[in-house]
Amino acid sequence: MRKLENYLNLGNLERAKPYLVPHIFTQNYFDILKLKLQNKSLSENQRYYYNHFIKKKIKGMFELLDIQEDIQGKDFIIKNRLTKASNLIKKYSRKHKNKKILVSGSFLYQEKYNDIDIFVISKYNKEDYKEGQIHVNYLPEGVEKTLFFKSISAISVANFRSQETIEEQIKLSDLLHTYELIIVLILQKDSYLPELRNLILDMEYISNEIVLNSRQLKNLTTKIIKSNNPIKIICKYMISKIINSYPDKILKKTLEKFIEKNKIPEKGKKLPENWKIYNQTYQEVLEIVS
Amino acid sequence: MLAEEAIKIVKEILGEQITFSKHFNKVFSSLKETRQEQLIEWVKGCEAGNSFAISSDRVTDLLGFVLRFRDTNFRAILTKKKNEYFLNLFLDKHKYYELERRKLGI
Repeated sequence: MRKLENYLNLGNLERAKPYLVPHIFTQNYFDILKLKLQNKSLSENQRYYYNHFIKKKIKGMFELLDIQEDIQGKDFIIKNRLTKASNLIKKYSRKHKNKKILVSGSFLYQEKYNDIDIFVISKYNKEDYKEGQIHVNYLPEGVEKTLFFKSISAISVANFRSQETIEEQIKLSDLLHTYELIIVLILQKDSYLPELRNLILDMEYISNEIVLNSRQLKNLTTKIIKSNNPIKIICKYMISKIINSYPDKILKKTLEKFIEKNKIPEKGKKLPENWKIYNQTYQEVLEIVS
Repeated sequence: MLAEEAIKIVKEILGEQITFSKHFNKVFSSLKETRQEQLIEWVKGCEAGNSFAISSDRVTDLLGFVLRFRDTNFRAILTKKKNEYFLNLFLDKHKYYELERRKLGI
């Protein structure tokens, strides 16, 4: 059973008040529902009213309007996958009672897919698990305010509607760490898809405030990975994105710090190939900025 | 291979001072034999100077080597004090590795 409160929020409740009071709810019922959405504790009487009258009215409205799941990016979702996703939401909502659950990933928009990603928001730090093709990933409670969540939920089927806005600060040093890691992984001939996805997601957001959905990210990352020279593309992309995303002062200070740490090799050793690549990229940014 | 054996081998390669992450034994035991061998070979490569290090911007003179196993969720980070000795071998699931990377500044 889905948790009905997950579809409601205070803003919508206030906006709908002229239509709800007194036609559907009395002022008292409205106030109780408001307390519930504010996660405030209810008195015994209020709990009784909530469970026996208010909740049933809301359920009735949901059934009347056939509100089953919250679907985002419906145009991108393959039709029969929508039904499958809805069934999965129902199944896993029973398994993870009262939890916010979301189906996302290539299963929704791509004919061929590997796993079906199900995300469960939980306040407890639990280990992810697999059941055949189903991969259940636990996300922490504050995740709805992150760029990652906005991206995965842009094409998704969920048992709730998220109203949170992004409250994530992306530091330049965090971007540079991811960039440096990607270059190492490419040189080591390792897979670097998740890291590249994170880097592009962050860079598009800090440069243009665009939140790419998982399909857009997949298209972009595939093009880069399949290109003849992914290192060159990533470096150029990095330069073009960060120059306008941070104040010159921060760019200068951070990049100089990174150049400094990558300047002197270990004794008796040559400057590593990856350090040369990093510093060339950082120098180019500094030249443009200055 | 048992985790205790692996620890012995790694210590022979990198020195007795090397420490291991909290869940090293448990995670190592859960790896397939080929992955266990890959980890040992990678450690040898790091010691021989054949791997690419990332230098930390948070910890002075800290170098980090990263190993990403294909098709698994596990990652390894080997840290070294620049021009000196190896410090720690971290082996854990992706989400803990991300936290460790942030902590180390690599």
